[in-house]
Amino acid sequence: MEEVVKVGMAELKIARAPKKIAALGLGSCIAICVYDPEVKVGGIVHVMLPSSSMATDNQNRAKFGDTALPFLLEEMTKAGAKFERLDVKLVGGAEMFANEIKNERLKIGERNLQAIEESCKKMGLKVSGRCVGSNTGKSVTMDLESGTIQVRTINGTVTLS
Amino acid sequence: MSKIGDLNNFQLDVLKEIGNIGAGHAATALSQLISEPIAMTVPNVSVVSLSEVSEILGGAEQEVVGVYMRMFGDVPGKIIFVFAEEEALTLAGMLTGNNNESQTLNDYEKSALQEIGNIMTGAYLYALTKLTGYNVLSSVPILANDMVGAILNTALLEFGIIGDYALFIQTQFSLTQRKINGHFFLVPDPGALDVLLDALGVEVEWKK
Repeated sequence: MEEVVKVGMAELKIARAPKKIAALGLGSCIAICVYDPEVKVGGIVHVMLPSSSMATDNQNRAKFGDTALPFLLEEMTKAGAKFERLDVKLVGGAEMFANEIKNERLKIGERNLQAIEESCKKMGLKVSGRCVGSNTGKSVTMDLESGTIQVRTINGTVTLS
Repeated sequence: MSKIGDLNNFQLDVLKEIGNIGAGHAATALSQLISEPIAMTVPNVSVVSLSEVSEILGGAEQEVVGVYMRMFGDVPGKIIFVFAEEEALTLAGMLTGNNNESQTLNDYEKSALQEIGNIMTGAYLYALTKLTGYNVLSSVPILANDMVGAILNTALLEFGIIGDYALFIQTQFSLTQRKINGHFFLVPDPGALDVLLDALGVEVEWKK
């Protein structure tokens, strides 16, 4: 039976083949998806906010764009993945209520993306695929057998490879 | 600032009563607008773990129409109406008097739904200002036709700043004859909770 591990907002989860791992209904949140094809282990962290410094409670490292990736890499390593083999893809970061946003500071989707891109650069990781921005919500499912990532929106499905 | 998990039952009841009075006014407004009776549930004050927010209304990927407004003034926050997509079409049809067979909302219908959101929010906030003596205004309504998880995640985002739980006051209202169910969410900004409780004379006693 096919098992899908669901990653909720501000959560981090790791799974291995033959399971699938998914983050459903991403708005301005971003799912960082990493995969090691050799050991067939993958992880998703569901990031809500760009920076841990804006929060009064920043215990949960999965929540923030600046702390989520290091956290995810630690957990992936524990699960047997190797840094050199990791494939990184980003999904989400929409502005759901587009017309509202005239103020740059309020563009959380875009700011989340910037923070995560910066974090990737800092960690020396290249992002190999993105499905980010626009005004539509997204769901991402990663097949841990093949590493294929499918992104669903209400307009259809695309495959990131 | 407030720790949502530490709210006691009395404080939650007060928030529920605010929801009750506000939503009662809002339902009356909608009922007069469409000349049909509206049924309303007792509001629910929900404290939900952030990781479960997407599942509040069933599956995260369910397609819905959401009308979103910001609240400004003494009690900042957000208001969101959520309708299942088909039900939104029926409701819009009632207002515009047209029968749209295309299964997607046209601009005219979107505008009609935004207006419903506007009128109901006006009634809700009027009740809220009467009750608290505070000044609360709303922004123009914005409509999103998308996955329910994406809409709710985005609306409850700010709770991530103060902890791992989100709080909202939810009321369901229905047009029984037409099987239309709408969900009304009042989401106070994290800092506005204390203001609301304080206005009603409820002691705000947070564990720091």
